[in-house]
Amino acid sequence: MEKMKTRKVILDVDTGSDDAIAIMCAIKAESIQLEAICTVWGNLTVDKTTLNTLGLCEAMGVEIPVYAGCNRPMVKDRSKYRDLEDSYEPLIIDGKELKIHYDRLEGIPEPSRKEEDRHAVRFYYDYLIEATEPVTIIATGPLTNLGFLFRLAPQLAEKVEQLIIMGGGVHITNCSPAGEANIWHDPEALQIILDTGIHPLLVPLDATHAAALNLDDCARLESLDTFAARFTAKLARQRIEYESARFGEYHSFSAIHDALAVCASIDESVLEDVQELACRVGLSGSADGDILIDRREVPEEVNVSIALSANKEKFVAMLCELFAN
Amino acid sequence: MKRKIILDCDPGHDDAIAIMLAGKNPAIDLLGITIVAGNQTLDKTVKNALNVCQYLDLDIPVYRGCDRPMVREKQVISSEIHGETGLDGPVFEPLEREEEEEHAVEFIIRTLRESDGDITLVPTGPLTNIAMAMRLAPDIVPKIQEIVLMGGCYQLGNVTPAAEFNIFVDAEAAHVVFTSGRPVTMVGLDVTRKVLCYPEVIERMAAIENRASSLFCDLMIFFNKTQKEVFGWDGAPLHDPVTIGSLLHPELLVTKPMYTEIDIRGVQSYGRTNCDYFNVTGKEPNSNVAIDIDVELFWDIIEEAIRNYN
Repeated sequence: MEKMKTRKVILDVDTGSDDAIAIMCAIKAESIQLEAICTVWGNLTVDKTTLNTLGLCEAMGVEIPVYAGCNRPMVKDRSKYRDLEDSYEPLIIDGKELKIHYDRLEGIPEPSRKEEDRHAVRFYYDYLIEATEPVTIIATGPLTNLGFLFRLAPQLAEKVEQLIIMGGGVHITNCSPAGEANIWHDPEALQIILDTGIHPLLVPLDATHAAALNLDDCARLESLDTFAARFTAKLARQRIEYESARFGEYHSFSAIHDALAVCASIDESVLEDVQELACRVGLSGSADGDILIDRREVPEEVNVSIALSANKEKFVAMLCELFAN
Repeated sequence: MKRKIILDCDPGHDDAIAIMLAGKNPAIDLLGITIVAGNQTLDKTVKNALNVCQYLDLDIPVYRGCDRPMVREKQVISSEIHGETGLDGPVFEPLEREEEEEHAVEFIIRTLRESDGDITLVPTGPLTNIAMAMRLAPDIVPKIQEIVLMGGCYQLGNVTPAAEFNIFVDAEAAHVVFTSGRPVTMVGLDVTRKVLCYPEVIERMAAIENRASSLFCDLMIFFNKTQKEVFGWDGAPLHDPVTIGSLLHPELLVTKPMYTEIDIRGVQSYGRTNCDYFNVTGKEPNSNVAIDIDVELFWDIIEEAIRNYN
């Protein structure tokens, strides 16, 4: 694995099964100095994503400060707090409900500490105002916290060395015909981020699906016999069980979306076909939550890097190396 | 008991009169004035609020809020109505009064959290500060007693055929406020256009002869001029003070419960307050929309407020 100089990182997560794996990647990566973890609503309500994040930190033996953030999208609520009770059809197999994100991550301790007092948006503001060194932000949930931050203080975008976002889909979507979950749940927030001129690196479904884990990969991780490797395999197996039950037997793999975004910050060559594109966000109608790529002969000014694929072998090798000890 | 309020505004000529009305009134406890960009850019609206407070000797904290709408990148201002400073007309002494350090959104959150649920929010500009506070700290929403806002219209718009200025400038924020579940009284153009400040009103207030009356006249002479140029009427509608007036005298307004939805998806009608007057949607009303106003009572309220500065 290519070693880069240490970079300061803040994670913005909605933990969440794949977020959990992403957090473990960031904790274990030698090149990452994890400054803080901010939580947001998304896969679950923010109280649950915060509790899961704190519990995971405890399981990993680290005391990284955790700041709880927003629990609703900036403007439009669509699946009330995304606990999905309203619109979601439960998937029940042999009397047991399968989920892709269980309310509580199983197999981690009850956290003995609480989140910090400050709201995540306030933390970002204070941190970036005072920051003298470059910082990378990796966001793997809805972008609500960052939307608020950059609306209140757009000038702070200059303090962010790189913003990596797991979100969007160019040829693949999952939440609506147009939208991937993280963007669809708060499209206004992404548009605000783009309006700052920050030029994020987007890791969309096109990349994460190209690097999906299968049951062989789970077995390989289990053979490493560390907590992080076993826990990753367990979560990946849960996801595969859910997805194959939902989509059919042939679907015996699962994209570990958020972990790929963190791995891209460690070694960007895990991503493939990274294109410089001009993008706006659909904010209404059928395009709501879509990332609209300007495909004209003469497009608008380029404002995002988007990975259209990923190197699956490399991704699995990175997970194995990170979680080997 | 005094009515506790936070006035959230973008002065603005009519906002300045709202400050005058609320600032020195035995029935109102004005906890703070929070400022938003709107009639002019934020630097100017903050300065204008400070100038008005200094001129009227009002010891009320002024908080700087949001300098742009919640989502839209483009800040719409209204210099053709309010002039280059946002408060053209009066000449103020050098400004000594200073704004508070705390951000307006944080002031709103803190003050509501510390309250017993007895604070009314009175927004007379774009709703950015209020919506940001509601979303950043959802726990404050149940603590808002009610929201009495100037904005919207169920009839004719002013900044577009469909939309009123305050809602048009930040329709997303208005969406958040109207879907908050708290009682909203919408004082829209439908009634504020009935309180036109004709020259005889200015003469009546001038006769009071104190600092407030001279500020009122300086403001309204300029306001009448631009309103005549843009809309063609001989007296300017005194939009924002109607909110405060209705708190002092609830009988000032006739209101009707309606389900109101903000157009945040359209183009031509962006920012329209779609007020369901006939309840054709069958939806539960989320707002009390002002449909008529006692014009004589309104001018009596203004006169009394100016006399409070004797």
